[in-house]
Amino acid sequence: MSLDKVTVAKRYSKALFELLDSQDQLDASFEELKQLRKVFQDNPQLGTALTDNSLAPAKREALVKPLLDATTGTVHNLIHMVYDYGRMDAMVEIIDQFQALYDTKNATVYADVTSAVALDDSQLDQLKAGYAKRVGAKQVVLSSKVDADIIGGVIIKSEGTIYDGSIKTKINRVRQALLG
Amino acid sequence: MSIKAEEISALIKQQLANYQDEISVEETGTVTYVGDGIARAHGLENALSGELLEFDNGVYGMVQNLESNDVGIVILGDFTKITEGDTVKRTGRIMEVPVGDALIGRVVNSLGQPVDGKGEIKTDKTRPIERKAPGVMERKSVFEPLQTGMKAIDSLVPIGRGQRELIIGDRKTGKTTVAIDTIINQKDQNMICVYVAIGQKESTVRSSVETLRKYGAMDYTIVVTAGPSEPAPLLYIAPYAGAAMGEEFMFNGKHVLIVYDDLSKQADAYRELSLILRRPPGREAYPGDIFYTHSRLLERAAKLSDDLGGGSMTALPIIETKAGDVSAYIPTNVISITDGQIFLDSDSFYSGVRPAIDAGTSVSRVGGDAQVKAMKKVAGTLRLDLASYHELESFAQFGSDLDEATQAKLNRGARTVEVLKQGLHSPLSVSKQVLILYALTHGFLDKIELDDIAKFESGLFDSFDASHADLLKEIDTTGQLPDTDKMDAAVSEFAQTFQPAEAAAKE
Repeated sequence: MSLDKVTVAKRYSKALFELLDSQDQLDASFEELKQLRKVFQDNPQLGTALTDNSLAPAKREALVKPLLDATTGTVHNLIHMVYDYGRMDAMVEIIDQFQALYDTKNATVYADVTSAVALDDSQLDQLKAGYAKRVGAKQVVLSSKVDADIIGGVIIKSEGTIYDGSIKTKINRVRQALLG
Repeated sequence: MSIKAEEISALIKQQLANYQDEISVEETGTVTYVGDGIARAHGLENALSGELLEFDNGVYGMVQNLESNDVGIVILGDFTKITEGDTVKRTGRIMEVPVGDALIGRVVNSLGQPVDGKGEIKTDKTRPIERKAPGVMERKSVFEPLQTGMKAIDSLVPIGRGQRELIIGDRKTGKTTVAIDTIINQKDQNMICVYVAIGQKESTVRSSVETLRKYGAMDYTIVVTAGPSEPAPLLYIAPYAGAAMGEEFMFNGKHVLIVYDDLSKQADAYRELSLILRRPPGREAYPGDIFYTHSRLLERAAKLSDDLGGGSMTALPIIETKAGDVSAYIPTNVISITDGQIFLDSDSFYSGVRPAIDAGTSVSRVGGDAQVKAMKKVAGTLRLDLASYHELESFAQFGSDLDEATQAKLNRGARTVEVLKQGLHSPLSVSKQVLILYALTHGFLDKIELDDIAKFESGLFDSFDASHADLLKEIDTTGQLPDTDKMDAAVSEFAQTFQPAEAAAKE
């Protein structure tokens, strides 16, 4: 059975992460990887084209060349290896998984905040501090969204967990308690 | 007494200061695949196997597969409104169904929700559907009889309370009828019955329920139904839900009879969802744990020790065979799990022997200890009689010159087969069963024409009800056979006045 992309990506990213960590090049390479991911995300066909055997090898190499030229060191080698093993279509996942490992190391947490009214910067900072304390993170990156449907309060979504402090949910709970 | 406003406001202030808004924290995952009654979700990293999950639209699911990147979920309800990208929440609970007295007389689905249109079920008790079966020290040997009311079963394959007796046979051989008649006979026997219909046509379930209602059996029966139009997971969990409902009564010291009709369809449903969950298929494409699926279910039938109240749960699983093939995978599995089987034969069914029980292949491994003494006495030689009759029957077709002993054996055998026939939904009490078998084994029927046996039987019962009720009562209360002289006298008294049908017609 062929492995799915996530399983493949986890293996490559773990190796990459451990290598970069031992070379102390995590931060520099991460910036490079982010750029690389942007290239793949901007050109969605790129990944499939590079693993497509019906495309002539020469043409494929021509496509990889600019990527190889633009990068150096370990990231350069990574592209080489991933290309040789025909896993270019999993590149975005590899970098995603790498980011997950990178964030765990730096205790960075990403969260989506939904509120009924737009929050100002000081409120967001308060929220960040409170949330960081709660989950034990050093750094919190918030992306906020406004949804009037929740009436009031805040909902924070992060890494498979929902912290729901919205008025809407509370009303629903009261309703359930009364009717149930 | 004066109200001190200051004190009160101080108290309120203190409470307000401590008032903390509770926020709900939920672990969620994202649906990445949905179809055929199952879903896969990313996230949910702490989910437990068997845990209930809630989808966005309020439908519940159960965790079945925990894999490295995602979890496989069976959806217990309508899956058409779940889409890719939906969130799915952990509930932290495992699958439970409502249990208790309020369920008696009701028809419910596998989740314990009523489907008979008689309003909600008022009970606050629930039990998890999966439970480890009682262990060695919690059990006791089976010793009390469970009367099915069928002569052929109570005499040849007696069932004890707490036993697991398989009913097996081809389609249309009366498997369900045996089970339904057994339920009907539990009236006033201090029994609670659970009838689990798995993959049965809704119309069949409807008519079974009507039959039970007509004979007053719904007063002590719970019907759990998972129809063929329900998603496979509901068919799969139905017997476990029924077992949970039965266990509640068993652990309260009551006696329970549970019928699983039928486990071959449950196995098919489990095969379906296992294949969609991409578990490797084994023999006949059933998953590797299909044996465990049935063994852990049937192991929950038990006779509890006195410390635990002495309750019992008797299980009557039903298995449908294809063209009499008992060596297929599921039949052999369940035969080896149960304490015996009642084999229904389609040939005898179509030749008019109903219930079509095959005495040769039907056995009960533990029921003998539970049989009433009187029954044991009169039925002792029955199995041998039948076996030698069937052997001689085929042999005797070749020649007409038979010695007297063989003739007598054939004669007795034909009458035995005739006596063991019984009408639909007409269970008999033990005493009457003993009575007719007594008449048979003591030779009172040897001179009666085969066609007259049924008439003789009903006449004999009427005569005993009218003038020898004390003898019947003695069997019922003591379980012993009354004095043979008295019995002989009473039976021959009736035999002398008996008018065969032909003679009656001539007059």
